[in-house]
Amino acid sequence: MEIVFNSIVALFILLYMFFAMQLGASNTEGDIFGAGGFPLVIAVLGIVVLIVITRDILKNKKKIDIPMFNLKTAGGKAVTLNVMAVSLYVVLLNFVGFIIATPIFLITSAKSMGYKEHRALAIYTILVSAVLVFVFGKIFFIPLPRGISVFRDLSYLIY
Amino acid sequence: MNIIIQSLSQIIMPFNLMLITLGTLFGMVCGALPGLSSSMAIILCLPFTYSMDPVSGVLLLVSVYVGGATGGSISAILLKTPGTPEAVATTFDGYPMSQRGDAGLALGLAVSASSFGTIFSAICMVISAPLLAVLALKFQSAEYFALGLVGLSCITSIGSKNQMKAILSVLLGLMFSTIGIDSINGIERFAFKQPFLLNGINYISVMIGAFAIAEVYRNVEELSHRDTSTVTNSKVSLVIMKFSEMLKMWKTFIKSAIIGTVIGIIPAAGGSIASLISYGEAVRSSDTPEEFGKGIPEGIIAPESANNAAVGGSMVPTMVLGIPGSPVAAVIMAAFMILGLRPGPLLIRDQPILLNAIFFGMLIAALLLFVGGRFVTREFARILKLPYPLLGTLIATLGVVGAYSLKNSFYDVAIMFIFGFIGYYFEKFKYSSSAFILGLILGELVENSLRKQIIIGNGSWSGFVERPLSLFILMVAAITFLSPIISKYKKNKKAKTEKSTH
Amino acid sequence: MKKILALVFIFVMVFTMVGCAPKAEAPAPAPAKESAQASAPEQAAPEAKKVDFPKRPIEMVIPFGTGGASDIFARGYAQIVEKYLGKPLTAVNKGGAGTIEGLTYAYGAPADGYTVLEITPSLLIVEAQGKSSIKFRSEFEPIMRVQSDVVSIGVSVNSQFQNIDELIEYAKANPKKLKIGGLSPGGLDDYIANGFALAAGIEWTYVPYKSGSELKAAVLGGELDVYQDKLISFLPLVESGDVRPLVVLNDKKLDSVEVLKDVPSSVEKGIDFTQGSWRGFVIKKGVPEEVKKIIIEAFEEAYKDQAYKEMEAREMTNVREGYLNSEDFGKAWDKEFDSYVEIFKLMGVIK
Repeated sequence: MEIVFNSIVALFILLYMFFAMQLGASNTEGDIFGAGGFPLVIAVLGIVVLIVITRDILKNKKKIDIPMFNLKTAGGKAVTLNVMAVSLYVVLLNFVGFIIATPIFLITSAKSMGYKEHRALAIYTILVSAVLVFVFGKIFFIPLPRGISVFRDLSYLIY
Repeated sequence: MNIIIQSLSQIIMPFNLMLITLGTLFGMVCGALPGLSSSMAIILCLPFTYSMDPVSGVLLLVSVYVGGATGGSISAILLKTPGTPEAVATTFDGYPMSQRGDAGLALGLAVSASSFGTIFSAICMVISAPLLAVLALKFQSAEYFALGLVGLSCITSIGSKNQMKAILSVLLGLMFSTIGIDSINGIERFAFKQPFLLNGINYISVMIGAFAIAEVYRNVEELSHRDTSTVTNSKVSLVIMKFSEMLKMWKTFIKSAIIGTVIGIIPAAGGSIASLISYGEAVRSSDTPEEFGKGIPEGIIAPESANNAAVGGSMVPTMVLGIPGSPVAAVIMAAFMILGLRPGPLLIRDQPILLNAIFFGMLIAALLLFVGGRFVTREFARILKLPYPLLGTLIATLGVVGAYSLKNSFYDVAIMFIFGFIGYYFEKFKYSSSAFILGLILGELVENSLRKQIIIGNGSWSGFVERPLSLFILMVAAITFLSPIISKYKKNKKAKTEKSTH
Repeated sequence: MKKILALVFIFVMVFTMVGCAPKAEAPAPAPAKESAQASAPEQAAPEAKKVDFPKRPIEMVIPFGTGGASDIFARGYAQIVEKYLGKPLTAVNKGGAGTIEGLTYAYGAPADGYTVLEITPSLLIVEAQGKSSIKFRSEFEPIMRVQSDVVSIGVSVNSQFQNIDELIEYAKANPKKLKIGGLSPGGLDDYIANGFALAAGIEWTYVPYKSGSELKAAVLGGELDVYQDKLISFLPLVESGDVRPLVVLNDKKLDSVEVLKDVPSSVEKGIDFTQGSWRGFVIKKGVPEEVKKIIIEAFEEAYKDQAYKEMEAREMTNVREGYLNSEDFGKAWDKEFDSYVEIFKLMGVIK
């Protein structure tokens, strides 16, 4: 399992090295490194360290349990559900805006983690949404996502 | 002396005291919420200062600055979400301590250390500002490079459990720091024509992702085996540490405050680098380095004392030379100009009351924190009593809103999301997210100053060793890097010989 | 259960209280606003009635991070414009990627007049270098140019150069030896350093710094040979005796500035280069004419406001007249654009 991880890291560093080599020399007088020099140095160091680590792993094999996205385990299921809830939230923000997407996410996410107290959840949802809109939107003037068409107009009424 | 008494009488007015209190509180809220920065808080307060007299205006802005540097620790300790980049090192020990149940203790320590750091640096500022300001000019590219190396070499202390993996994490962080427009010749690097990558990866969204979101995933995974509705963190203790007990750790307090003040003074490095270096130094010089990362008091005191000391430090060159010591100090300087004051040597001579106003503003804010802040702040720990489904959801929401607020952009949310996964896998395979962020924060400073020094030296490396200060800092970096490795080696050897004799 | 509610409630209360606090502190500026509003409708009201604009706050997109000179200017100006528009202008910082993020954001907003973009030469430079797919000049329309900065060149007092002639003589004898600092590679400072050098017939090396503070520290600490900066940053160092001014990039001497009145101007020295920074505002092309007219009028009125005159004096941006009306501003773009293309080609930034 860890070998897979190391291979991904190795692939990343090699790609990084490849792109670093494409960067041309600098036209600034005296800039001996140029844009690609420093990236190349750290990439080479990275490869060396990675080789040492990989050699270590191959010597003493250990099994590491990664439940994420492993739908056979309860933990994996819960995490996957949570990842999906957050992704849904981010997508929704773009369409229905902050004031509608946030309560939906708060309820879905808490429920997906197994929360069952309906009344407390309702109050929690309203309070958290209201505080966030108030603090970020009203006090700090952050243009929170407004969504499209009707939702956009709706948001202008509030922040 | 006369002038001090005179200015004190002008400062201690109910209205000013109220301003300091409100400013500190406002700064703390702003610092505690990820995505909202101290510079933003100060800019939002700016319009209110137009109608005040300059001294009151200055008091308000300075207290917001102090509050902002303190507030970041609250969310770092409770939610593992550093509210500000300065608080990143506070999560290392603050979060484990609050998970253990001692959230009140952790918050109390953070606030006390912050207040100590502020007072220490304020006193340094008022006593010897003109002398210290010279330091800002002694630091040129060669010294910055050396300082960046000191920061990076802390990695052997911070990641002492698995040094090789920690080093690889730093290197990966450095790699990510090179994404974006090259700061020397403006070439796009690794950006693939994406505008959102041109400015580099924002390390605040990385921090939120790799720390807070990854932690939510881990907790969700763990809690899935239980009925979560009933799981509440019942052991939230609000006990804070006794003053006499804190005194025992005076060495950490003072050493960190000195590190913070010095790093605060120099313009290109600020609170986040100060707190990381201070943490690294605390680990290195400790008798029990293996206890760090599990929630020991020194691990909170060191970064918090340093990042608040950097506040006073950064005001030194701002006042004396008109050269702001940090981005936030630059905003404060702009605010001074709007109030009709122009920082620089003339200001201190012509209007000594202003320097005193800053001094007393910081001092009173710090005292307020120490006297009252500890008791107010620890009440925040009650948030941990929320059942995890609610708490975890709150953290995820705050993370999304915080990352979005950085630049009002979803790209930062996406980056946060991606680093949520990376942070999760890093933890599983015993890599270090902290080390990764260390590399990400320091990468630009190291590369930029390295190349600048070589350009200044017309292609020669000699500047690094010919400049005495640079040489000295390089040696500090070497010691910081090697001493944990050597001590680990010695320990292993000792363990082996003991084994063989038995 | 009850406990949880109480907790959440306390949490909310704390935030609300703190949040309200700074608002409550500011009763003082209100009267000024009222009196200004009383006079404002006289000019703006007749038009405003026809199209009913603005109905809600307007977003002021600032393509820079918080706290810089351009940010402070735009926020200050927005507050004055608010008096004449009747609705607040909320600042949205979209700093990053050398203004490209702000440009992209303003371009993505609907052309309804509710989004105004602050601009500086950087946006023209972005177009000149082809860094964004959005063609700035053909997608946006000018509102007005408000102010312009004068750039001055100087050296540390410890430097061997007493005047500009000595500096140029040395630079001619030792091409690329001198180091001049600035912010952002390939940006305006880079252009000014190289444009000046070209006009003076010299060559020097441009070293970019991350912030104005680092730049100043590098000059005073002796790392850089030559210092260039806008007036507001340059002046304090001259007044404190740390920097010796050598030349101001202008047509004539700056008589209105006490410590610089004897410093020669670039044109007097036969160096025909006077580029500085400037700041103005644009809206997206396609905004209805009536709405555009209301916006332009409000911005023009703000320029005449006493509050702006004070702001300008503080920022020292009144030394050289920067005002250009909408039409002239648009024309000025093309001229400047051509010289950016020319110099960046020579520098090798554009191929």
